[in-house]
Amino acid sequence: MVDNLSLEQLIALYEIGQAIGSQLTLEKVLKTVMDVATKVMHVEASSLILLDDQSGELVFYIAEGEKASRLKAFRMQPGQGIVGHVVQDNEPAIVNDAQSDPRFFKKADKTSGFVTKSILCVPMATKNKLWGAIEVLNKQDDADFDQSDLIFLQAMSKRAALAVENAMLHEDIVKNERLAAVGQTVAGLAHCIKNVLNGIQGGSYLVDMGLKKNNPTLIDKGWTAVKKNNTFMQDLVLDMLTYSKEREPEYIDVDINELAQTVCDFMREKAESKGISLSFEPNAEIGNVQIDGKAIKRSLLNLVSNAVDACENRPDAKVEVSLKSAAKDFFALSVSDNGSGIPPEAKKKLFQVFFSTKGSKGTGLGLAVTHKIIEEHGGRIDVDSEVDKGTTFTIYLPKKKTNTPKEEI
Amino acid sequence: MTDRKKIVLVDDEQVNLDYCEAMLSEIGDFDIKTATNGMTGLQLIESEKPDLVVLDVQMPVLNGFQVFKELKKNPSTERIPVIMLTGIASTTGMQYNAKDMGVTLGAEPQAYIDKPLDPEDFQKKVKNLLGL
Repeated sequence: MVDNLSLEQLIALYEIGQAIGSQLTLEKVLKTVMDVATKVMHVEASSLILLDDQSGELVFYIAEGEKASRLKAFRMQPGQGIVGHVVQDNEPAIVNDAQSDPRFFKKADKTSGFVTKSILCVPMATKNKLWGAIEVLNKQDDADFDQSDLIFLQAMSKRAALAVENAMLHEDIVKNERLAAVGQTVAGLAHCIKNVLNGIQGGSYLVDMGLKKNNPTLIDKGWTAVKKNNTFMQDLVLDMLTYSKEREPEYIDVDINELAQTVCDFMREKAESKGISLSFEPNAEIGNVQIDGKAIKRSLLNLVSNAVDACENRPDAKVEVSLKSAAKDFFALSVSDNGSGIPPEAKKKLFQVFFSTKGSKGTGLGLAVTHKIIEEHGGRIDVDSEVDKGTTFTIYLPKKKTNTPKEEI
Repeated sequence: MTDRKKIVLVDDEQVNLDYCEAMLSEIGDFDIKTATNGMTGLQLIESEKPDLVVLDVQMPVLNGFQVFKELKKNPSTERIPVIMLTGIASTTGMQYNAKDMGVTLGAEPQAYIDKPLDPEDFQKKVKNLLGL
């Protein structure tokens, strides 16, 4: 085939190969194909027509040349016009007197205002599938289309078909991945919500029974459960919204010692009720920092809460929070516990959404949200853990809003 | 007194234990023992040899499927009927699935109940398994 092509045509085919191999969108690649075809074949107009699998109609996807824009998205019925026959028979057609050909569909000319004199149309197919056709119209100087034009257009068409097939495959993969991600998210959410519903239902049942039996202890137990699950649901919704939205931190000046102290004070009662000591080691050298105070407070609260849960029922259980300066004008907030530690297989999934080792107590969103908040600040979170010894989570954050890459900390 | 049936409830949420106890109190006078994680639950079942076990699936330390598997391995506990309480919306579209949680079960529990628990369904299954 190469022997039959001119140097100009071979260069054109090379250009098309380059376009297909690039990261351009399908529309841009196909437009390049048709631009090159129009230029190299010295024709007045060209079109790329896709076959709509569902309706069988032919859709003008790319239309090049004078007045061609009116043809964009123009549809033809199966078997209609010369292109319809080419697609139906999967055979090329050279028509050098279009107006007197009985297959010619005059409505396309009426729509575009273009006068078609000659047509060269070839199917656009890969090994597995017929995708449509490409056609070139009116060779300059009223010359006829010949066999060498046909060979060149077929070569172009094969490349265009491959580009279409690749794009469709890619679209299928992305669609399947999106569906799988949606399925997993829905399953994770459904699990969380079912647990909350069970808590509310159980609580209501206890309240009902307490009222019937005039038993204040049961009423109190039930009502406490309803309130607890209400709070759990609010946290779940807040975490979901934080996780699902791209957002910029709302930077304000924050006394980080005070923030950490507040979190520890808030958690101390819960920790001590379980026999766990909770301490904070302030660092006066670190004054105010520029962070999203609310978001970082939530992140620290997540880490301290996890540490307390990990220490439950363990001897001499303790959780220590500390604050240090780090390289590159960063600071480090560490939360250490001497709890159960994280097994290596769980460590891999630690920041994965809806992954939890806390049974029905965890939403599986806390660490995923914390990780996202830290990343949004241009920071980093490190985990050091040994089973049965304990875990240390360290958050590294810039003291000021900065663009220092986190890898350099 | 000797006719009092013994039931072990294992769930990491106190309200769920209270809820189950309340539902059980409406259908009989049972000797109820509780545990709040899979490991202590397993030890409790092995020492108490109850007439029925109610097991939550998602628990820390050992999950419900892991506890169930251990019970089946032990000749002294393998015949104890088990009700599994599930809140799992599995990615495979089922309501519960041991495989999703990395556990291969040799046998199936006698009953599954999906959360949120329906009191009538729970009470009916308990009665059936205890032959009441």
